[in-house]
Amino acid sequence: MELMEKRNFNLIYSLIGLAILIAIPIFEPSKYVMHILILVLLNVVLGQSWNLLGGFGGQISFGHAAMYGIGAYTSTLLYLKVGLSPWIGMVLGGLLASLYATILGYITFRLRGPYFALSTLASAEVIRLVAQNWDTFTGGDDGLSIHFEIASRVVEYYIILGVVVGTILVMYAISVSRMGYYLSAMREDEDASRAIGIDVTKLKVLTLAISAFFAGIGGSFFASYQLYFNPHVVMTVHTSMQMIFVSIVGGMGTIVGPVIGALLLVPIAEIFRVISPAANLLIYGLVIVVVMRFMPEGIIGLRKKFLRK
Amino acid sequence: MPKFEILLQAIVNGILIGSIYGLIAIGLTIIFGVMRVINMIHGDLIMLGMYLAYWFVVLIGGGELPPLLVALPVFFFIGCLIFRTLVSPVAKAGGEMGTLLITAGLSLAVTNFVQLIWKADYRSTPAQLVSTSYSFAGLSVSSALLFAFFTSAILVIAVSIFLMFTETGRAIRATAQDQEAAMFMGVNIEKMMLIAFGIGVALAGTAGVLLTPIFYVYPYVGFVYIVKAFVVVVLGGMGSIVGAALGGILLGVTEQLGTLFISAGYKDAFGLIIFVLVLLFRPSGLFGRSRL
Amino acid sequence: MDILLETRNLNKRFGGIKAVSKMDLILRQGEILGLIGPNGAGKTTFFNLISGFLRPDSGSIYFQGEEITRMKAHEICRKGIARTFQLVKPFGKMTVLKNIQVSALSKSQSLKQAESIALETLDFLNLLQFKEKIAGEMPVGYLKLLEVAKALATQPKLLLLDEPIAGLNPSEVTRFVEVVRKIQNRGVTIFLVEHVMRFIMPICDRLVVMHYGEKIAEGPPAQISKDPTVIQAYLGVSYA
Repeated sequence: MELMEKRNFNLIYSLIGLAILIAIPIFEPSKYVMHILILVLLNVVLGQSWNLLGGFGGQISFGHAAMYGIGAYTSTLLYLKVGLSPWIGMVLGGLLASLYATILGYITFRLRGPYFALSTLASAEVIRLVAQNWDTFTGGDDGLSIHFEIASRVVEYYIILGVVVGTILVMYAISVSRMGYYLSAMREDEDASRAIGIDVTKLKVLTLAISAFFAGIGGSFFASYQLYFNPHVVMTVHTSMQMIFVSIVGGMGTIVGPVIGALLLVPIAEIFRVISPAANLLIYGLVIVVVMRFMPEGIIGLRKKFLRK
Repeated sequence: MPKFEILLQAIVNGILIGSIYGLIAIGLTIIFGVMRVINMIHGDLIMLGMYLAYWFVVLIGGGELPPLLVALPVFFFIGCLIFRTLVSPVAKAGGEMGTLLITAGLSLAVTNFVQLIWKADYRSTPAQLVSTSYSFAGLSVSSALLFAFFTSAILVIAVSIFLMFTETGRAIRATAQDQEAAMFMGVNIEKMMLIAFGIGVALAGTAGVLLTPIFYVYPYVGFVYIVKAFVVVVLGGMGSIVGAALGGILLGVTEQLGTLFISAGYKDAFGLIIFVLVLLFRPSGLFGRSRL
Repeated sequence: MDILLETRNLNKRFGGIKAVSKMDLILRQGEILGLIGPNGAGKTTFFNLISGFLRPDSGSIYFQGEEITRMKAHEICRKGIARTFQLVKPFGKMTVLKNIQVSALSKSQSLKQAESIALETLDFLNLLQFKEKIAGEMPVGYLKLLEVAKALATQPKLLLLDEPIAGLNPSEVTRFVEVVRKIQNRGVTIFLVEHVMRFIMPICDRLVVMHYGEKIAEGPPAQISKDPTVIQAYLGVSYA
């Protein structure tokens, strides 16, 4: 968990990777390959989002699906009812998710660790129930659909790629800033953090809000890309658990961790999709168990241990 | 304003079903009280108890009692296994967060494993377990609910006696109160936590058996109950058995009344809102951090 | 000497127990004040009240003339009161240097400035050679010093030390005495809680004795050690 060091951020590798990603559409890969890439990139954003709060800040949330879902509903409803461009809607989706998270944060700031985690879960469930029952507005169990493709797959690809770059830049900036240091302290010990002058409450709320923003953007993008979703797809605890998977597997508290996690999540989903969606979730669950039991620092942690020898 | 009988019926049903909630919550609160672990898989253990009863009755036959008697030792053993292999090592290394995540991951795995092998279909009560209704005083009470109530009551009393009057029970309570002090007094902390976890899980599995005649059985049913269990535990006070028992009944009644007065769709929301409210205003619950 | 900290009629109860009762205390700039008393007398609770980790039920606390009674812990730190914890709370996964750097951050303009304060603090406490060590792997004796270093990095005017030498061996205790004197020489006022008389007596200018939440005696160490009320409190037997 050494995110704070101004480490050689492997800038060269990142730039090469980015260049490759930008160039890919030139080779006109199949729609399916583009789909996979888009899913991976989306999950990188979601993983970074959860990771900011959970990995950097040490606050476990089981309720990120609510922020994801709020993003999805916001941009879609604005598009369907008012005709607002989904890309502007995406930003608004992020902001609304942030608002939700800010309120949640101020309500739950006093809660430590597991209690906080549980209240994020409870809160997310309330939101899901609202989405399910308020049919006239949200479409209830049936969800919402958009009937025309909003943009070509290539355009969608570049949009999510842009979001990924933006997200990682923000995360990096935080990690080397004062806030990043405070987050590490808060993760280690809240009382000790207070004793050295850190306003832990404000920090928690701020981190929640930023984390939620990216989750919301992710949700909006998903809605505009898949063109259909319902509460069971975007707002259940399983969605939250997938974000947790992405963050934990690669290495909680690092920036490259969620990238690795996303690269694992999507192929697993695709391979096991033929059996059943339950098979994916089973794998994710098992992996989380194995990771937490044997390598809580994720794949990055393993690599570090390897290198020390 | 509904008729008095309807109101009373709701309250009675609430109390009966609340007893099961209490049973579930007590298991959870024991685990939390003794080792500060929030057992995210608790709900799925309930679900497994439901499937146990279901398959038992469908394949072997008989009533509710045999699976109940089987569930107690089987789930105790499962609990010990989970504790030994997963919870204990992670608790030592990673503290509260680690156990939270590993039990959450296990829950995800178990629910989906069950879905794979037994499919997601809602299974309705097997014929042997369908309950009859007794009526008196204008109320109708299902036999299954009555059976659940009495079984829960017996189990709660048995556990309480165990904790208060046996040497092991006292050692467990000492561990819950002050681990270091208990260690100095020669208590084998690890073993006490193991037993406590086993008991907690046994209660969950048993609650599942009791629930089989009352609700549909399906892989994700555990989630519904674990959320309720958390509400009850927080309401009654983490670590308080009395609190969990009474909190369970309170939740049961609130839900029934809420369905009556407001709406059925939001039934589950009541508990959640209570949960957040309690956490906000009286985080120590109705009975505070009382010891076991 | 100016009054740095003053509590007036401070009260705190937990359930039925009065943990702190009618505490009036004055702390003067530059002195080293010791708070002693039998176990359970309320000393750590009193510390928690002053440092903002607990809210008093009634009474008031003034620091440099300003009322801080209802202030939160982090605000109180920024006002100039720093504390250590009885059970040390290092930021385990971070290096020693980072631990102190982050502590210095709230009073620093930049990460760089915080780092130089951290290095200076490490030097002051003779801990420079450990700066890259992972805090969680340090032995207890050094963790106690790290607690003090973190508190010092916040550039306090008043330092609260909660049982700083519990668990230290005699040579570590001697070193700690020197550390406390050095800190006093820097102009920091020190308020400490301890049980070990051998440590308290030579260091403290004044002692305050608590028993069942109340102040039962106050004065120079020599006088306190002969005070019959104090002796009775510790031994539970009347020597009068």
